[in-house]
Amino acid sequence: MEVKWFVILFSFLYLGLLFAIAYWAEKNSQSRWVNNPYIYALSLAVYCTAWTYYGSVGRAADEGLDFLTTYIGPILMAPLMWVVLRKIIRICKVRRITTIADFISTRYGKEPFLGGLVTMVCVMGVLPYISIQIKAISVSFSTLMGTEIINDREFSFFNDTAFYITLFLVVFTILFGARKVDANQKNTGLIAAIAFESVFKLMAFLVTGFYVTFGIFDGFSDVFNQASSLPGYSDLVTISDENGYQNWAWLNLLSMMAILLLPRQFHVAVKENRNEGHLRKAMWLFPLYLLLINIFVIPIALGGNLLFQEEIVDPDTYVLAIPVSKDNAFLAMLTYLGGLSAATSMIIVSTTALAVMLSNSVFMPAIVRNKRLAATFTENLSTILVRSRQTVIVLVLLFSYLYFKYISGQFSLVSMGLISFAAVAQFAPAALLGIYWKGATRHGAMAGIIAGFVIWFYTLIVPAMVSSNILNQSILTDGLFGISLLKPQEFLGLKSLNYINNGFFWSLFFNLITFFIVSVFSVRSTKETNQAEVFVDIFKYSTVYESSIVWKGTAYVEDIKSLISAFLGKERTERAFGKFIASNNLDTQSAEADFRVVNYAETLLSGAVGSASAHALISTVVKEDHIDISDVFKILQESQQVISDNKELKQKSKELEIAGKQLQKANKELKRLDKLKDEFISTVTHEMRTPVTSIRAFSEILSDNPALNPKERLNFLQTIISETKRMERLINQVLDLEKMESGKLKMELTPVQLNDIVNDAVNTVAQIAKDKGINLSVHLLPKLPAVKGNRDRLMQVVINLVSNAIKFCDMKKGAIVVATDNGNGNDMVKLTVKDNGCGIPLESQKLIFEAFYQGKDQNLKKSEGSGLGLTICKKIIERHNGKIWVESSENNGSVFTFSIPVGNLQ
Amino acid sequence: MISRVTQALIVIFAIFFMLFHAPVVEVFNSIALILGIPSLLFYFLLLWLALILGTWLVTRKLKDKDHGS
Repeated sequence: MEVKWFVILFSFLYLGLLFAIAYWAEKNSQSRWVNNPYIYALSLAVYCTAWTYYGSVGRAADEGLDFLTTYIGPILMAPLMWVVLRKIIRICKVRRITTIADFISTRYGKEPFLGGLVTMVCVMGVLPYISIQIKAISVSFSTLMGTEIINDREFSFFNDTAFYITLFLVVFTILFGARKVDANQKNTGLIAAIAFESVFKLMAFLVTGFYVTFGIFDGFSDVFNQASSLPGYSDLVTISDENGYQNWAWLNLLSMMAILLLPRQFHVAVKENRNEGHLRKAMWLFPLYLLLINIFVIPIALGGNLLFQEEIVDPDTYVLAIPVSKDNAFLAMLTYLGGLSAATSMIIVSTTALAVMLSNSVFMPAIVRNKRLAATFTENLSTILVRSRQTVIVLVLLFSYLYFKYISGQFSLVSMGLISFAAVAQFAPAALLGIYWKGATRHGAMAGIIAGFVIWFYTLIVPAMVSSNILNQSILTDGLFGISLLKPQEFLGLKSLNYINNGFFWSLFFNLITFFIVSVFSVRSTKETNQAEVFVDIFKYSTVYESSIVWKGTAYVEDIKSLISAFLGKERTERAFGKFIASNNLDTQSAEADFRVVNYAETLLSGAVGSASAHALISTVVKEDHIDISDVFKILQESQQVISDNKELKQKSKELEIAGKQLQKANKELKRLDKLKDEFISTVTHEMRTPVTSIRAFSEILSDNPALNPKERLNFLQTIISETKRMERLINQVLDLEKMESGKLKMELTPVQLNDIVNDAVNTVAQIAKDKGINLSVHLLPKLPAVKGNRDRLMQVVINLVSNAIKFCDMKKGAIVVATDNGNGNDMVKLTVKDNGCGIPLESQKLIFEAFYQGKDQNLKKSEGSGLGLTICKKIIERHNGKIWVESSENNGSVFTFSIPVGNLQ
Repeated sequence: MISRVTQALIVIFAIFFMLFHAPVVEVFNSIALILGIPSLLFYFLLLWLALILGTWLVTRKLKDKDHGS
């Protein structure tokens, strides 16, 4: 008696802790502790229910590795989450969809019947699954107490702990899952509690697994070595036969679909997703979680088989029965609480999802489409909405409890789980193909789901009903009406698959066939066409969603606002509309509503009541005109045009920005060149005025003084000739430069020896150097390779460089070294002219080769010449595919170098 | 045009789908032990780890503009 109360106390302490975490998270919804990818990834682990915690071990003990298929499907789907799940998330965010029923209904033109149908399939598929979670809680409690579960009509459930836990879950789920009108709002508290439960159940399972593997046995090897003596061991660690591979593949496919389509998975992965980017971490963290929670399953299963060889113990309870049998009270309690967390997390999320589905896809459409009901409840629709969800939670949980007490007693965790998976797999064609295939129609989706559901019910639920003695055994052994092809577990004579796969295969087969055939032969309505376009191309439309939904009619802003505020409250409605009108540049004074406002209002309302009801409610305040399909395509094309125009505009503006920058740079360069040109003209005219003045002065002297002595006369005449030559040189250089820049100068290139050119050039200027007392030395590299060049022009370059060196050399101890070499290899010839003059400031070194530069820097201005010499040198060397540069520092002389590649000879 | 990173995710799915199914699993389907663990279980655990690693490596390169549509 004392132990029982002790366990009950801990159970409720644990649930109290859950309550506290949820409450704290709700109050701190923006905290990084609750809004991060790790919480999101952990919330996905709601996939691991009591089925994983207890059932996996049970299944492994009986069937071996088959239990892995429940997890291999989801991990295979993990890399595709970014492609498939992200698309679903985006659609739901844009369209404010909160449930799988609403998703499918919206895709096919907000068809209320379709939403209702999906909801009913979910209820039928998931409710028994919830009931077996309650069963797991009850069984684990009994295992811990060492008592039998009493399941008969006389048993008072007021004496049952599971009943009180169910009541607690009712309160918890209502408080944290169904308090808000807008179902689209995030339930931070609920998700934080689920994440905590994921950590707790993993930790508890790992501790138990570690205890069994390393505490009771001596590691993995020991478990497998001892287990190898058990009968049927080889079947437990291998896939049995040819059919085993088939069953393996179909079960993997089943769980791949379940991870996306189970209402609870849709709830945590899509509806509660706060950031698409969180998927990045979840894509590898979730498979890692599944790996960890499965690592000890086989050791515990085999360990249980070894330990309980002599006793009858349900393998589903091995996880708990082992620590109990070893009298490890602490571990038994921890394991029990882990199982409790696995079961409660599933129950809470599934019930919340079912409550939203039933209220939004069944009750609300029924109310708003029925004039009498609508008139009765118009004033308090939002209260009705919340109360209906809360009532559904109470009903679902109590019904699940009763189902467990009176029906599901004989079902194993695994069979009910897989039957539930097969039920939601019926949504795969409509939901998953619907986001990639625009041709899928409402009629196709409905026909497919109905066909699949009927086969599912016949092949998987009927056998369960036979087991519960609701139906006669003969239907299993002889088939319906004695037709053997209609045996539920060997439907149409298929014997190679086990009964779960048999049901899954045939239901999906008929579902798909019907879906395709009916879709191809049925006509899409305007609404369907519109939704199909937007769903399939959501990444194109998500930014201009409201403009992409085609709508024509008359509506007034105040009517719409008044409708929305009945659900969302006046303040929130005003805020949402104000933001939307401002961001879309709509007229704030207009009484008549723009079509985008109508679409936005419907989207807002969808978050609260579901898309079908939202559409029906909006229709009560607007007068909608008929639209034909061509209008839909026309408006969608316009939307697409807006998107592509926007992209083009962005591109053009980027190009314009670049062009503007280039223009600015060119303008700056032009101004600089213009300034240099002015300076050049000033320099050249100045340079020309000097000889012209001299020539004129000496000519006037000669003209005015005929009696001058011959020696003086000759002296004057020589000066006139010299000044004329200077002018001629200047003019020639200007002309040369102009020819080079305009490309008119023809330069004939022949093989030449640079050493020969240097010798000739140096000989030309040697006398000048000698006259100035400058030591001019030449170091030529023997066997310098020949290059292709113009001898006269190269000589012009060498003379120019040496002449410049002579001009700027030290006046007293002038020294010039002219040298040739072939660089580092034999691939070029190089000439250097080194002087010991005043050097060139660093900032001028890059500019001295530019035309007109001399005029700018008066320090470099030569007493003779135009200042174009180096520019011409650079042009000549460049015509030889070579390079010319200077290395210098102030007062340390300069080294002018040019190099010409030998390769230019080819 | 599906981005290269998205293509990589689809390729990971395709490769591991094959590796987790017959006939590849047939190669390891025996009661022999590898490091004390039955070979098929060992193979599945190793594949599982490889899938986590592969997905982790690719998701590091994922950008918001990469989507499968």
